[in-house]
Amino acid sequence: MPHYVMTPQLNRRILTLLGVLLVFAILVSMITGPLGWSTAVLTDRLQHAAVFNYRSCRTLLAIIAGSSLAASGASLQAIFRNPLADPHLFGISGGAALGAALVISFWSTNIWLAPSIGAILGGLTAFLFIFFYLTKSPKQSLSHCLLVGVLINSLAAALITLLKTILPPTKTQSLLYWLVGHISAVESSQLWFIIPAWLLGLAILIHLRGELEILSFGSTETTILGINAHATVKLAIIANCLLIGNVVAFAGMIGFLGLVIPHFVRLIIFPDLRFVLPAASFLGAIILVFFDTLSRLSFACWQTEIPVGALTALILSPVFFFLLLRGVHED
Amino acid sequence: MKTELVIDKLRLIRNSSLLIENFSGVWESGAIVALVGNNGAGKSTFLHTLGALLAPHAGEIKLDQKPIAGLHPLERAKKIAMLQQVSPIQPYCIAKNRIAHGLMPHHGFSWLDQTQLSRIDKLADKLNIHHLLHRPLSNMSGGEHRLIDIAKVLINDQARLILLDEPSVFLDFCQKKVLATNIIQRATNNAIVIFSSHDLDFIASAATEVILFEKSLAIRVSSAQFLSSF
Repeated sequence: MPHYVMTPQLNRRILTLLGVLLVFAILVSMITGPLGWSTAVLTDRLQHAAVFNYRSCRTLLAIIAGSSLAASGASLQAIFRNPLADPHLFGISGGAALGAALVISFWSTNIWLAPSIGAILGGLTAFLFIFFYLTKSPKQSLSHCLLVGVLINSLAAALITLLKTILPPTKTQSLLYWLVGHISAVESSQLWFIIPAWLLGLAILIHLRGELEILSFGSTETTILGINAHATVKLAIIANCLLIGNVVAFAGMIGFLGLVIPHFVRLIIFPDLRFVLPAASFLGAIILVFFDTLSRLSFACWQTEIPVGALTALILSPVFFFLLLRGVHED
Repeated sequence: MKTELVIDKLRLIRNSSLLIENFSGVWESGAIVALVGNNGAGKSTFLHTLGALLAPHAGEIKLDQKPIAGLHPLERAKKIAMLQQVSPIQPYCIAKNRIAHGLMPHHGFSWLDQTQLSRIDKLADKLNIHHLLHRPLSNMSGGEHRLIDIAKVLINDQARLILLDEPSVFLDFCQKKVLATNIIQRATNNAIVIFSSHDLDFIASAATEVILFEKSLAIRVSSAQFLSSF
């Protein structure tokens, strides 16, 4: 665990380094395809316009999903004072998944945007439930709010299982692919919807990073230090809904990143949320862009892409276990 | 200008039971007040009310002629520093960063500059906690963790009202003495200190006055008078 004191200069240097790594990851992603790599995509854009557009949209979606999940996980772990808090624990993703599952199951037309619209509506409904609960019972503890999220998730999981059971195999397969999380083609027109929600959610969380760091010491401590704990929580939850709803709608249920990336940053670099939030956003984006590139390469071996959600969990789980073990030894 | 705390006809009710009825008093900087009473008598509720974490059922509290309930939260946090009874834990946090939280009402959420770091170093020297500054809170004993939280309160050197909920719990004999010295120093430096405690030695070494909580009454007595009854 890092034992030093963060200074403005060091903070700037580390974030710049992460920014450079992200640019590197983007370049690798842009020149890598299922059959290997070629710089022609970047050097001869006229010739390869279609590939360039496809890969740039896909890379952008990986950046958005990775940074959203990591920032959301970091903030929720602070709000709920629980290291296991994860974007998908919050009900929004359950609602979104159910919305998309219903569309995939019962809408026969193959409109590419349809599952996303279903996910947005489902996520929004779950959010309204949570927000209604939070507004009606402001004195309830946050763990109750988390329980409402768990309830929504359980209900959604039960209904999705029911759908999987009664649907024909072809529909079940496309539902399964969507649920495991994927970064695939998004149309540039879709990005006009995705980018504003991402920027707004991320900006709110990064703006609140100081308040959230204090909130991780409890709401009483937050009030003692002159911060309106309830307003901070409400605003952070709205930002989380924007980020999570957006990701689940367009990239499915990519698990693991939101839980683990903030812990990576805390364990390896620095634990203060003022640093963790922006750094985890960068690292989440870097890792998802990197794993999306790997997932693309997996096509050469198996003639199909391994969903990025599965690939991320498969490779990062042992790394995280090793880090935790090292932390235990240090203690 | 001297700091002045005025409590007027305070009435506190918690969980439907009357804790304090019609309590009034005026204190000036230099006062170090110990709150004494049985468990559940209302000491912590009283401290929380002074810190504006709870609203009184009736009555008014003024700090330097201004009602504390009307103060902007940030303004209040600058003037009133408070130690909670149970130190909140965030295992990854390093002691120096935790102490720096006490400066946040004044300096916002920016990273520490050299001036602030040297202020923390100076305070750490005074509290004999320099060796703890770079350790995470999870690797500390209860007493060490308590001292870090006390330092977080004392680093706010512009606070005019310092509220400490059982500050001497977990501290060893030497650290209690160091704490008492620091509290006295802050009180002479234009602040009012109010703390709750069950520790007679600590009360004897620091308090100038005692408020006894008993059967919905809060009774003010001098520290000497209180200690002579034992």
